[in-house]
Order: sequence, then structure tokens, then C-alpha cells
Amino acid sequence: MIDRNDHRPNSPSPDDLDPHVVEAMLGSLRHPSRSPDVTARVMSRLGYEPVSPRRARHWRWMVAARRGGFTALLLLAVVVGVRLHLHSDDARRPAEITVPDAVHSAVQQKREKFEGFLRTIRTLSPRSAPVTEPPQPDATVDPQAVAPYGWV
Amino acid sequence: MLRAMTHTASIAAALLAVAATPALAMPADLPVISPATAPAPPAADAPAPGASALPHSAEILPPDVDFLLQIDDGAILRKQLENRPLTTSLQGLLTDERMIAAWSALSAQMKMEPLDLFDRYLGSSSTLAVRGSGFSAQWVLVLHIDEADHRLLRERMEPQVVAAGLQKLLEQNVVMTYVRPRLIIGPQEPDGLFKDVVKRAEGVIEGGSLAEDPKLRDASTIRPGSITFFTRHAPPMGGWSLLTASLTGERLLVNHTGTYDQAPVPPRSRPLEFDAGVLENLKKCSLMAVLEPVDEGGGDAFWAALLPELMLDRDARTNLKDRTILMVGQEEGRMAEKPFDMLYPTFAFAVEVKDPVAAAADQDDLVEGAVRGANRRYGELGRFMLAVPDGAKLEQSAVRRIDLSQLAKALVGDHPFADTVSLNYTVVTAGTTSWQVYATDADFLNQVVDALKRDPPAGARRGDWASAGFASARRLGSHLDSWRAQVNSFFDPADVETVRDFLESVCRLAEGVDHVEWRLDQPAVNRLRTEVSLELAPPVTR
Repeated sequence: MIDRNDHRPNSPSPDDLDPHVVEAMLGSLRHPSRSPDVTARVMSRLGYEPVSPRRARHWRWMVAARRGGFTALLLLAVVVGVRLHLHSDDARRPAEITVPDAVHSAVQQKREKFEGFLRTIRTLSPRSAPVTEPPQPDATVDPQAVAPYGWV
Repeated sequence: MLRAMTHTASIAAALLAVAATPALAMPADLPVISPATAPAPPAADAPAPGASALPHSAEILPPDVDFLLQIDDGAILRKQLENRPLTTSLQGLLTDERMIAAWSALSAQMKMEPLDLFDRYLGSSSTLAVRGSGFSAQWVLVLHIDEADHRLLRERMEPQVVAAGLQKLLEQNVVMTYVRPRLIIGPQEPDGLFKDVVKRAEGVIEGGSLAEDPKLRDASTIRPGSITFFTRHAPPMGGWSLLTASLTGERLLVNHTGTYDQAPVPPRSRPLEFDAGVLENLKKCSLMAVLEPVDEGGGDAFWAALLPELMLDRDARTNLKDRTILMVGQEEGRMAEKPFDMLYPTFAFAVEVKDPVAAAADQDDLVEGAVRGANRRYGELGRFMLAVPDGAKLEQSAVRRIDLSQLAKALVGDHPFADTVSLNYTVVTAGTTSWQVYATDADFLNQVVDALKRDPPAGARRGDWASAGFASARRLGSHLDSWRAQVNSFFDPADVETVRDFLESVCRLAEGVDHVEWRLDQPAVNRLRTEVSLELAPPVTR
């Protein structure tokens, strides 16, 4: 479409075209000449070459593996970093002994000790007086005898 | 520094122990039985009008809380208890290195001295509440702090925000929320109790509160204190106890009330009002004395089963008056006939009687019957044979004496202490009343008789009590301390270490208290009220 407001001095109008030229252009369009396909060569020069489907699959696999490896490496680095941070002095983590834990364990320990005291005290009995040994039977006496007697 | 940390870390535990001591109490203006030591204002045992011992934190606690310890004015209490031997004793008994280290680490993170941290955050009002027990126990800590202190806590501890208004203190494994003026702290995984308390503090009430529990109406009958302790008891005793304590000068006053499924003391045989003034005269000669109403049944079931001859007959029971007194004294083993390095205990028992003449005859009959019974039932088993007294041959006023050393040897072994044991008895008349007195030592009997003969101090308090008594804690401590070297002689080697540890703990605790007095009311079979006064040993200046 012609812009009517375009007043540039060198812009040709359709009326300015030579009819012969126009006819020649239309003729070449009607009968295009057969020229060699140079697409592959051009694309090759640009760095693009056709490959076999097998090779293409191989390359796709290689790309995916490279990306996966890189991601794994990145994750590993993050995990190591986090762990290093958690074990560093700057990391915020629960104190080795928190106040609630310390109070709980102290109360528990003292309670167990007290209960132990009570158990022992409850089962305590004074040491009894030494028991006199009962008289041992005289081995020289025959218990089966009508009246016990000893060998002389 | 270390001492300060030790002190601070143990304060809460010490207060807990003081609050948990079962037999403490006596309102601030209640005469401690001794009118000489405590003026007796009118209506002394009634709390101030409108006052209730129910802890204010009960308003935000659910009704099914099982344990509550509330300490008001903790900073003031800490200063009052500073350098007192009792505090030192409790520190040793209740704290350990881990508590000191934990509190020290928290103080360092808050960039404060341990004592300052205590005063600032636990010094106003702090409450620990627990629901359930064992592994399923839920807990919450409520501290009254102002906004500036809350801001400071956030600045220094840098809590992690885990939800709207809920923050986590990573280093302490706890969560907290501030509902002005309360800082509510709970476990890392907020449990039901924490959430219940937060809801109540925010005004979203669900299911009432502990303060509305009708069972706690008794709280209004005892005097409020700066320490309040509430606990429910496991079966078979069951029920609950509420205890308050406050420090007034040198005296720690503790009030307790409780209702039980099965009361820990047997019910009285009859309601009785009696005066406890007689105890005042016994303080000099006794380490401890317990005054109780006379048992009209005529004897304890245990003794009746052991020796039925101890049961009184109908006439003897009719002659009994109001009171009985059990006394514990001490004698010096180094002064004994066969000296030994130990203070040994002596016991005395007095029964108030109406007619002293009949009482003397009853006493002779009772002892004679009991000695014959003991010889017959246990003489052969215990290899003893006690001499049977013949009271008829003695004047009524003469002191009777039976040697019980053989019986003592059968019980405690062949220790020189056994040689000191005897049964001494007589009847003494003092003013308008008379007492049958029995003692395991002749000297102690004489001291008790002298004390009973003296008039009780004027203005002695009367009351409807199930029991009243006193203990000279410091003297008891020294007494028990002298046993430690002799433990080998009385107990099996396997028990020796435990007994020594126990004695040491009791002695350390006793060092902190000069004198204890108590009285126990039993308004109903399953209800108890206790009032105890502890005269604390004075602070040690360094």
C-alpha cells in the first residue's frame, strides 16, 4: 500500500515502472528457472549439518546426562554447604543442654534418688543379733539305735 | 561467677522444693503455738476478706491441669533467701551441673548476668503447669514480663517466626507467644496444653478454667502466699492438695489444704478442742513432740495386733482425758555406762488422765500385763526374758523402771546403745490435770515430768486440731549426723551407703531450719488442713 503522505523524493510510484520490466518480472515468476539447492551447503557453512537419527539420540542423551550431572553436583554442593554451616560455630541449633531438658533431667534424677531412699528405708531392718549355731548332731551316734550311744 | 550461676539455677528448683514440702504451714499472723514468739491477733487463721489462695494463673489454665507451681515476686524471694543455709542445702539437693550449665548458656545468649536474667524474666510472676504424667505429660510456662523485656528477648534470642504470633527459640527447643503481659512458653512441638493456655490468654475461652473448678473452693479458706503449689494425687490416695508459702522475716509460713479419696492420716476418733500450750514447756528437753487427741479406742491397731495386752480395758479408757504427747529426746552416748560415740534417741509418751490414783494402778496393770505378754509371745523367739514389775510393792509416787536391754538387743543387735534402753513410768499431776508418762530413759522421764509440772505459758492457743507439734530441726540434724559413724553397727552392709546418703541429705536440709512448728486440722475424714511455720537459720555472711 502506498502511503499518501509519504513525500520522499526518491520513492517510485507504480506509474513510474517500465512496463517491459514489469512484464519480464512477471514472466520469470510464471516460469521459475531450475537452480541447484544450496541449502545444505549454506547451513553447513553456518555450522548446521544433518546427522543420523541414532547420532541425534546419542547427543540428546549426552546433553541430558550432562544437565543431570550438573544438577546433582549443584545439589551435593548445597547439602555439603548446609551441613558445613550447621556444624560451624555460626550455625543456630539447639543448645547441647537446653534449660527445659536440664530441669527435667534434674527433677527426674532427684526423684529417682529419693524414691530409691524410700525403697531402701522401707525395706530396712536392723541388723539382728548374731544367731547361735544350732548344735551339730554327733556323728558317732547311731540315730537308728533304740537309745543313742557312741562307740568307745 | 560460678556461685552466682549455681545460685540462680537452683532458685526455681529450691522454691519448688520448699513449696512441695508436705508438712509446712502457718499463716503469717498465726501464733506459732508459742505466744512468746508470735503475738496472736484476733481471728488469726482466717484469711483476709476477699483474699483467695487460688493462683491467678488458674484463670488461664484448663481445669484438667495436674500440677501447678506459681511464684510471685520471685526476685524479692531470691534476695530474701540469698545466703541462707536452707538455700544452700536445697541447691545441693535439687540442682546439678547440667542445670547450671544450661542457665549459664542462656544468660550468655541474653548477654546478662544469671541473677539479672532470673530477676528480669522470673522475678515478677512465673507459673509452670503440667497436664498428664510420664511421656504424655504436657507443660507450659507462663511469665509475666513487660513489652520492653519481650522486645529485648526477641533482639537477643532472634526467634524464628513459625506462625502468626508464634516464635521458636531454636537454642532452647521451645516455642513462645506473647499475649500482653504474659509470655507463654511451650515445647518445640506445641502441645494441647500450650494451645489451651494461649486461647484462654487471648480471651478465646473453651471449657472453663481451673479457677472455676468447684473442688478448689477450699482455696478461700487458706491464706494466699507468694508461692502457690497445686497437685493432684495418684490413687490410692487420690484427690488434690493446694499449698501456699510466704516468707515473713525469718519465718517461712506454709498453708495447705487438701481433699483426698483416702486421707494420708487416719481419721480422729472424735472432734476435740484442746490447747497446745503444754508443748511450749517441752521444747527445752525434746527434739520433737507431737500432741494429738487421745485415742478413745484404747490403742492403736498395730500395737494391738503386736501385743494385745496393750489394749486398755473399759475402766482405764474411761479414765482417759483429752491429749497424748509423743516426745523424742536425746542423750549423749559418751556418757553412757558403756560409752559409745553417738547421740542416741530417747522416747517418751504421755497420756492425759482424769484420776491420777486410778491411772497409777492402771499403769501398773498395763505394764505388768504387757511384760508378761511380751515374754510369753516373743521371749523365746527373741531370746529375752523381761523382769515382771510388781507395782504393788512400790509407793504410788515412785518411778517404776524395767530393764529393756535384752529386748533392745534382740531388735538392734549387741550395741552399747541397747544397754541404755529401759522402760520408766510414773503418773504426774500438774495443776488441774494428770499424765501417765512412759519413757525409754530415766533422765528423759524426769525432764518430761518436770516440764509437764510447769504451767503452760499464758495465752496458749486452743483449737480443734487433729495434731500439733514442733521439731528443733537443727538439733535433729546434729543428732542424725552423729548416727552416720555408727550406721555399720545397725544395718546390713548392702544398705549402709544408702542410709548414710539419706542421713546426709536430711542433715543438710535440717541445717537450714532452726525450728519447725505445725498443726493439722481434719475438718472431715477426707479433708486436711495444715499450717506450718519454719524458723529459718539466719543468712551466712561471707
